[in-house]
Amino acid sequence: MANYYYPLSTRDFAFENIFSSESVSPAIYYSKRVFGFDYFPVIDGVNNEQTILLFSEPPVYQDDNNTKFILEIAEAAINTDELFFIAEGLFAYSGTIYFEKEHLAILFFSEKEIRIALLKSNMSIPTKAVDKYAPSFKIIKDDFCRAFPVIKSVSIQTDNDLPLKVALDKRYNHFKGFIYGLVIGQIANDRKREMGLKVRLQDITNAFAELKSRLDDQLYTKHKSAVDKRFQPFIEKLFHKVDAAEHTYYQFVFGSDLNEESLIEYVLSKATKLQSRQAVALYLDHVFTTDELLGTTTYKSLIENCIRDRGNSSKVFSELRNYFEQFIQIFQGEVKPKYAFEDLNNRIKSLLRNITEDYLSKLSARPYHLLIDLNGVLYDFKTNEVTLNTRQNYLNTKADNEFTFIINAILKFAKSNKGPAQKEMILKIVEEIGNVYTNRSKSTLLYQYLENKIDVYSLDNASNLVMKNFVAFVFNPDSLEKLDDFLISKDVEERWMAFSFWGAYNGFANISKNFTLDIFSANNIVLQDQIDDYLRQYIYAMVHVKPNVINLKKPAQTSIPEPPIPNNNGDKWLLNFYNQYVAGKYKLALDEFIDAVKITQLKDFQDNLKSKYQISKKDSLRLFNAIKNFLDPTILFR
Amino acid sequence: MIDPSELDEFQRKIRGLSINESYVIKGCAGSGKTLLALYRALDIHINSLVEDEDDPASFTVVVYTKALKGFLRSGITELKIPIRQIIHFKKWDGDPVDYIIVDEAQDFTKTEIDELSNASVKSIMLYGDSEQQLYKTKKNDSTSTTERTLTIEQIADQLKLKQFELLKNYRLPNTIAAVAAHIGGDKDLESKCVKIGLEKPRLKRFSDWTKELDYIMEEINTRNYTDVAILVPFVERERGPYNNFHRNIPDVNAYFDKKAFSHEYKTSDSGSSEFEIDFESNLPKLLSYHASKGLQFETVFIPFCDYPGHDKWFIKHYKSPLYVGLTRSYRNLYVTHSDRLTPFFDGLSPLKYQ
Repeated sequence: MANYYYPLSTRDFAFENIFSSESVSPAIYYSKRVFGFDYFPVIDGVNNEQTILLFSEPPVYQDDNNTKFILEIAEAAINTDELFFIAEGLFAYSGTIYFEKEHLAILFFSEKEIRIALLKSNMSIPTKAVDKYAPSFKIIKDDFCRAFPVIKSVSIQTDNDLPLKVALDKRYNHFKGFIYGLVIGQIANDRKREMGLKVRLQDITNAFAELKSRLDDQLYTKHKSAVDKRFQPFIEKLFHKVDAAEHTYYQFVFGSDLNEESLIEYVLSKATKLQSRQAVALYLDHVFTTDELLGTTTYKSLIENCIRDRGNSSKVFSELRNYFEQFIQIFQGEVKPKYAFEDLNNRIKSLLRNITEDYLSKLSARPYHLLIDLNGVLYDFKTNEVTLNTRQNYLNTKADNEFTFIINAILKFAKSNKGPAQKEMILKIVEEIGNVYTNRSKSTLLYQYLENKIDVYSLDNASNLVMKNFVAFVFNPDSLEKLDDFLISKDVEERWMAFSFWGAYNGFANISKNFTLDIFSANNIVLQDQIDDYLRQYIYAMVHVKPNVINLKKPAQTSIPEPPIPNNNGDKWLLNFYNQYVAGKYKLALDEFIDAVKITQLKDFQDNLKSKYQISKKDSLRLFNAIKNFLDPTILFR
Repeated sequence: MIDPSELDEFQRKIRGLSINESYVIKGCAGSGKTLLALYRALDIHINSLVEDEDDPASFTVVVYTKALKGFLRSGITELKIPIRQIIHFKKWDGDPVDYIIVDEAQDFTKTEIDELSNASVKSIMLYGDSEQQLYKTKKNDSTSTTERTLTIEQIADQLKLKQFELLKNYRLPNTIAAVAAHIGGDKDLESKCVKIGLEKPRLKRFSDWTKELDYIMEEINTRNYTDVAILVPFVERERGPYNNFHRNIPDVNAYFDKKAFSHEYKTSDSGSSEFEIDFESNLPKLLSYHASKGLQFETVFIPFCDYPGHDKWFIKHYKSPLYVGLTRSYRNLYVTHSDRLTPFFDGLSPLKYQ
């Protein structure tokens, strides 16, 4: 199979650019596509603004002060209908080339140049796919390059389909962002405990900063003795945060493989009077029962001590405590400073970073598997809409509908500007959703809060998980890091929804590498392949979208789902609701419950349940309200 | 981490200059001078690593405010650049190094600039903005004489270096610039701003000053803001006319502590305190307008925008500091008051805030 060669260089971050979107387009696309980088360099003599010039062999070219590299693209990765012969060994390609691992190599001219490109790109937030393609980085010698005639100008027919192609690239970018958001969000869900440690370490940094600013104030104002007592709560808080982080650290690092056997071994090694495993097991049973009866926590303490005993890592936390103690003692003038304040401060910061890196390194080896069946997620380029064929994790049919509707509203008003999200677009999304669920689009609390009409908005106003995740996205439309922090801080569950909202709004090219490190690491080849296989069908589908079926100027109309109506057809929400709220609590069989749900007036409902099933009016009122809340769309989005 | 997709053509051009080339960059607030300094440091580091890992180039970043030092330090640390020194000028040892990067160069005198230039073996890069000059003159401790600080143009002329000017403001949203420009400073600020603001600054009135602070705490909690400054006019109660009973850091600090609201604060200006502001913490930072200079925050709250009975005094002394405070935000700005709004905002179109 033939290969084609696209000569590029690191000028103007071209390397960072193509690995932020996993694709390369004609330079002219970048200023028009309104996502990711809005520029792309053109190297005189080998590149063209309007099209991708592909060579049949690696060409000889110059780009002083920049590192050259060539994309070697297999013919299988391109749509040959868009390939036009220009001259012997030279072709013009009109369209975006989406990278496929098995059909792409990146050719450099020395190891040193690979290193420079990698080091520089390592600092670029959106450049995320380098690790994925790293096995395809190769070195070629200058001798392999062929001198082609210098291209001064290329006569290329105007591409009438350019607006369509750019629009499709944009749609694909947002759809791909949605899919990656789903996957990243699942990983985030899976990592809740680990993220807990991240939060604990940040708590230490915060508590230390809080204390320092007070110590600094005292040093500066020289009112030392008068204010000493004020600091005690901050000192205690700091050490409390260290304890909490240490506890979480042990749970994270050693907790996963702690079982009863290891606990028995630990007790056996510590308690000389207990000389057999059987004796220890009996003792542990006794402790457990005593705790249950008396409300004590001896068993828990034993587990904690066991975890602590098994890890050498307690050293780092001891070291941290020592530093903090020195810091305070120096300040109180109790000891001669071993280190100056600044040096000590740097050591503490360095140690905290080391703990974080140590824990991150333990995470990096973990392979992930998709929990959501992507094949149940369907996308239509023409309507720019997603539909879910399978139920998502832990959601009922109703929530699936809400989730899908929000995703489609976001795709409809997806980001189309550089810089921060535009408030108008966020408001449109909020309005669109408010309109469907409340029929009062601009009077929802969220809308009014965003419009500064009211001072306070509580996340509790969003009464289900879909909406909580949506509000989290609305508050954090620009930074995935901030969204993640928000979700952790507010303890929002099923955060894959918020991640997918963010991904759909911002698109794949804008996703931060901090969140894709796992996916693109060598440990997750299977996951990469699953995602790639799934997305490939849509890359191929783009080719078949015709200009007359896509409205390029206005966003596609998003269909509005009807709120679920109860019926006798075994709608799953009824079963879910019955199992969750009715079974075991009310003397109602499922079919009796389904009949009762059809009654819309409270009085009739109460009379019916009282006369037929002897359920009190108080209980039937509670049940009626529960059903109403569950069914009433307005409650979801006040 | 850096997002190169945010850079424009002119910034990319400067970023593309050789690390062995010395030059001066003049740029308004938010024009990305500090970001370019970080890029420079990164390029020096990478070049050094690739050329000779065993003998890395030495370089120093010299700053004039301690807060800026902390800010740069967190950036450099995040980029994992093993830099020899990011140092406040007062603590700089004057030892020669391969590369020197000088931020806020407009706050240095001729003598100081000469010292810095002489200490750079390969190249020196100086960044600054004459408009943001905090000190017109400075005392030379060794000679006990007073010396004028130099403008960026004067520095370029003195060292015979190329000067580049960053004309656009990339940090400040145009919506915030529209309000800041009304207060003073650069009247063309809004037209220089390329960032379209997510939303207009919020201007809110409350029944008393504690309600202003309650609102700030509530809003930080609701939004989970983690990059916040709360800026007040005075560092001490004693500063300003008599009715400065809450517009100062000690009183706000005491109120926040009473409400168990975690925060950091600074009662000292640059150079005189032991610790830098900790930019690795994500606590709200309570600072004076003055101390916020050169820093940037996602969200800035400016409470107490009233000074009843002393409007003239406030206008005379606080025009420039308030302008500095208003231009610290790269995203959200909240201005609150509980008495008559300071005349600084008189005539401001209601279309420019919400």
